[in-house]
Amino acid sequence: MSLDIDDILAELDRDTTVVDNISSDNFPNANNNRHKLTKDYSLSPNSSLDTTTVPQHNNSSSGKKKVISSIEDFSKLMTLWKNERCSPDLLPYPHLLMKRMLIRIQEQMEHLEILSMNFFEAQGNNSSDNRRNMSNAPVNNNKMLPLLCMEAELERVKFVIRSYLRCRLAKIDKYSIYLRQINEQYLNEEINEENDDDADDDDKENPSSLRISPLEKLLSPEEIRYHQSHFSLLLNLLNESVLKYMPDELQAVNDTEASINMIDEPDYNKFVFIKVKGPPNNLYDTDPLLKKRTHPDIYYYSITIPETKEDIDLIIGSIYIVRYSLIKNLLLDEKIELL
Amino acid sequence: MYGDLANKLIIEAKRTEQLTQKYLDAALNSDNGGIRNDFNGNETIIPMYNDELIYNILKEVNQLKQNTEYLQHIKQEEEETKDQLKDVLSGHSNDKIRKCQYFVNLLCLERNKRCLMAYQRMRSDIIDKMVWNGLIGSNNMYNNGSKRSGYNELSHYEQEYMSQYKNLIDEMNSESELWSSIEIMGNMNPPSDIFIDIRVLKDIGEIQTEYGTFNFVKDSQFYVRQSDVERLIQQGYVQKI
Amino acid sequence: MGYYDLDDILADSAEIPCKFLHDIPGLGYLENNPGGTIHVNTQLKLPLWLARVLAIIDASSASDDVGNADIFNTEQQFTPFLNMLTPETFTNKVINAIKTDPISLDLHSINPYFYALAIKWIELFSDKDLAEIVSDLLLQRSQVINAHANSTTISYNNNSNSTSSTGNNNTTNNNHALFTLTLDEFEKKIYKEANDSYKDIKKWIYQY
Repeated sequence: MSLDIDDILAELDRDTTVVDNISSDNFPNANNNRHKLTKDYSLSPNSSLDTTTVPQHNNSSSGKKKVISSIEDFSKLMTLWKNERCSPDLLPYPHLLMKRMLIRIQEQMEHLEILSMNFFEAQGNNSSDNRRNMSNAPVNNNKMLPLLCMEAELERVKFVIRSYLRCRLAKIDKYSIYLRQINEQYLNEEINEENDDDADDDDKENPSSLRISPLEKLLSPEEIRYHQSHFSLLLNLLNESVLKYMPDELQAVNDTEASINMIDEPDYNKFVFIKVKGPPNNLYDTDPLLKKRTHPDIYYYSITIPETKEDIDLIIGSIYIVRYSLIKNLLLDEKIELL
Repeated sequence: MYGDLANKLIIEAKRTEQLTQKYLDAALNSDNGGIRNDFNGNETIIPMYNDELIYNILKEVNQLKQNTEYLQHIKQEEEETKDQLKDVLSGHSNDKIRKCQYFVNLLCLERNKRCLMAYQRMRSDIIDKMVWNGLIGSNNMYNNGSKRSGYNELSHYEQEYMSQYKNLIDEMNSESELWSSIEIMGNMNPPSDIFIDIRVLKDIGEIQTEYGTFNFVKDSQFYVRQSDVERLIQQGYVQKI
Repeated sequence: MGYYDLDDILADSAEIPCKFLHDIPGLGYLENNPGGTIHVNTQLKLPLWLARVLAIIDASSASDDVGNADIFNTEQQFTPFLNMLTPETFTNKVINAIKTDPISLDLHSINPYFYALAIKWIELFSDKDLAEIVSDLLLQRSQVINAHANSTTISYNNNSNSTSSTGNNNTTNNNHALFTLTLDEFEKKIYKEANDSYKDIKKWIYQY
């Protein structure tokens, strides 16, 4: 059920994507190209991912709907990518953002195919065989340049997403038992709550079918499936080669009672470099954690180091190096980013 | 001494880890995005599954299990024949002895288990990396010879694991739109140049790209778009210059 | 540290001299005397993974039968099966050597897993002095490691797959190689990471 809702929301996002109308005065050739090659699609060399198939939407008609431009999405993606690579923990999966990016990438690929097919039809009559394309008349280059730029940008976006997903998969592999433990704890809690016959009215309003498990928040459905399948494959391998030869009490793979805990937890005490951004969308007034020094006007967050009982002021715009556990909440609220 | 064999196993595992790390570093740092191109087919990334050592360790584990059973048996006997009031002192010291013996046994078992698990986990990590790097697979040039890189060095269960894992990845690749659009098994180095010089290592025939048809004969060089030939680089048919 | 971490497993195999506090028959094989008994006050070298637990568990609370009145145990203190004694790695001799000259000390020959062992030891005995000494040691040595990692040069060919230093000067290479022999495993990791990142920076700067 929830996945369908996500799909619908993503569709809405796409429909309200803004077209950035960048003046193409600097690219006269591109302008000519646009008129020649494109029929239904707009071509803007600078921000080539801003295509939209519903050009009649604009800000005024969408009224109070939130419009998320692809530039915002892209910078959000970059931040998420950097955060994921630097953090020792698995960060929550951006479901909607990914859906939007996927749609944009697919549209862009189709767009480019159509453009290049048109282009090569035009060029097809005088094409050569193995000669370097660059040695042809330079005029071809100028016409191709926007196409090349768009392709290059598409490759870059694909690379970022690829790196992001692979990083997450690597973390999932590393912490598979730990993730399972989280899931099991959650399921046990659910069972305990269901067994309580004197349920409150609150519980009746939130039936368990609508509650999202922590694993679903953290991982995409594909990642969940990957996690489960990979873990069962690995468990099978370990069972067959090692565990079945062990005595009964040592046959578990998640044994926490032995001298060393078998479940590898992420290292929450790892030191990370952070940059303090401040509240998202610059909502300085509504952030309860944000404090202000009056003389001079400096905004900061305050955290306490439990071991030395020190207070540290994280001033907005500065860079610090702290333990991950101290700043995890701020990171999830998008008030700081990792470097 | 119990645990010595396991120690040998871990030392070998550590050596393997260092070698693999070197190999993977070289692969990543090269411009081929994850596969080493001077692979001459004789090197293998993963050493032989050390059947003999593992067999000996498992024999040791068996011995320890028998020890445990023996200890339990003795304990039961003692409990049955224990005279509660008279033998309190000796009962205590007997308990102590049994406890110590039991713990030593248990610790040896745990140690062996830990070493075996770590060894197997390390190897399965290497296998995972091999699958992701495309070193396994039907259309990989290095598999055309009789030696598939590393396949023969695996134990039976590891081979099963490898093919099942590869199937899992292939399935997910085809089912997930996101994964296939971004080519999740593609190049892990950021795209650097739009056009690159390549040299063809093996006869592939004619390749059609947007920029024309190229005849990829062995030892010919071309100046083509990077994204077109990335797959071929990964499979080892062409080499970036 | 990690259950599956190979370095942790190898560090656990370090041998610690231990003194037994009880007579234990049947464990003679620990001192190469199978079938024999280990007597009180025997000193034996045992691996850390074995000694640690035996030094922590209380031997006196052995009886499971609550019914027995413990009339002999009213003043029983915590007695483990054995006591761990200071291993060679942390004797005064070594500590003095650290204090006099931390930089040119051959840590690898003392123990290839010096830092890992030190952390475990400090955790077990809450030894603050040792903690200070070791952290100071690391601080000083890491500056030297950084200097060594930084001084390698790379060739200008972008396609070189050099994983070791490719300085033009052979003696520089030898210096680096000899230096790395004196590092313990943790320092080697630091050295490698520093070296790799310096190489990456230079490669990036010189890529065009």
